[in-house]
Amino acid sequence: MDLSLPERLDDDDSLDELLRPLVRDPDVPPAADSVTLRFGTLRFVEPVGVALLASLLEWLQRHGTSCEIRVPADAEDAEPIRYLDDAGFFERYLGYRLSGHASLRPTTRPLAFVRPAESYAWTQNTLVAWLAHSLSMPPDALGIIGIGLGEVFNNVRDHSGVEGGCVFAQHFPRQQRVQIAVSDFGVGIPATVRRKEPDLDDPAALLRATDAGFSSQSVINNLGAGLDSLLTQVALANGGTVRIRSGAAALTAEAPDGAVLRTPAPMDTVYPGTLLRLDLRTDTFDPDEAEDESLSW
Amino acid sequence: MTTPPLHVLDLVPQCYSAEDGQQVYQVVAPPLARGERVALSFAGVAVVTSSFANTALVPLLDLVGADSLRERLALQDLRPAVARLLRQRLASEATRRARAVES
Repeated sequence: MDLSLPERLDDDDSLDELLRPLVRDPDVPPAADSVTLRFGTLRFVEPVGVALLASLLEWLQRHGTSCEIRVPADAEDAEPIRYLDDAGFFERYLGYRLSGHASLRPTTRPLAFVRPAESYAWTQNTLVAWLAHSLSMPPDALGIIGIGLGEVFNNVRDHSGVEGGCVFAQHFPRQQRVQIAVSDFGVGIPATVRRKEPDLDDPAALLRATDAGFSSQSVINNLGAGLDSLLTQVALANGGTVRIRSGAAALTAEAPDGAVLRTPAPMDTVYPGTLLRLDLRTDTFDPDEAEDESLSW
Repeated sequence: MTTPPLHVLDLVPQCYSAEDGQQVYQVVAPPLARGERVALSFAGVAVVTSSFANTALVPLLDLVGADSLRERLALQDLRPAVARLLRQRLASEATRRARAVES
């Protein structure tokens, strides 16, 4: 199969344009024995696009599908190609950087495949340390990031059926935000929820998964609440937004008025696993945050 | 009787996984079950997860009951994000258990 990337990899439509020809179900082998991905058509890519590309390539490899990446020589200077090259994407999947001048940008955290067992150390020692340095803040002031990703990776471990997720992060200093994208091609949230509540469609299942008291009990003694905690920390406490795509559904969470507003929606194309986009505000991290609370509940 | 304050990072290297939580539970549960007061310090902890809370603290609700737990377990030295998560987990599970008893 010969596939040219869409011009943009940022929103749902463009991500679906890439997914649709290749993936119908994470457990069904790819629609082709070999795939050629042509990058010459790419004009813009966001972190979610990078995470999706990586997940797709990992999934193709897992199914034994040979994958060729083609970048025309005259496209190597195009901004999205340089961005991917600087982020280490081609080094990871081709074994080499396209340009001798490629170097990691200080505002980019290179693509990583993170296993749950490594996720605490990676988040604290790599992701948080990088952003804290950029913001000139103590790492402990960015606890929300560790908590949020902890919830994500505990979910990957308990429910996804895959070994880990692809993570990519981009800091936007002028906008005072950081975007973190995590993708896995595992079971997906709606399928997991339907083990306990089989009558829910994908949007209802995705919404249900974010309820505080819900657990699919995929793991004994798993009381759930991971996604609820993620939304509370990112949307309510940080003032950021969370967008989740899984199965034939998406859900956006934000807290414009002091309460988390969760908006599920059906999607025409199935995302074979889970894609999370965390948009965090960096102006709400408190470098002087104290450890002085006692808990009453 | 109050046991000396326990520092959670003396019990586990991080408050992240369900297994971390189980280790904490195994230390704090026996004195609470004996009717003692326990103080647990989260000094140095910037990250907790619901998986940790679900195995470290939530089962204590079933062990001694919500009212006794509020009285006997003191969680101290918490960062706001950590306090928020632990409060959310304990309050939510205490409410769920109370509703189950009523129905």
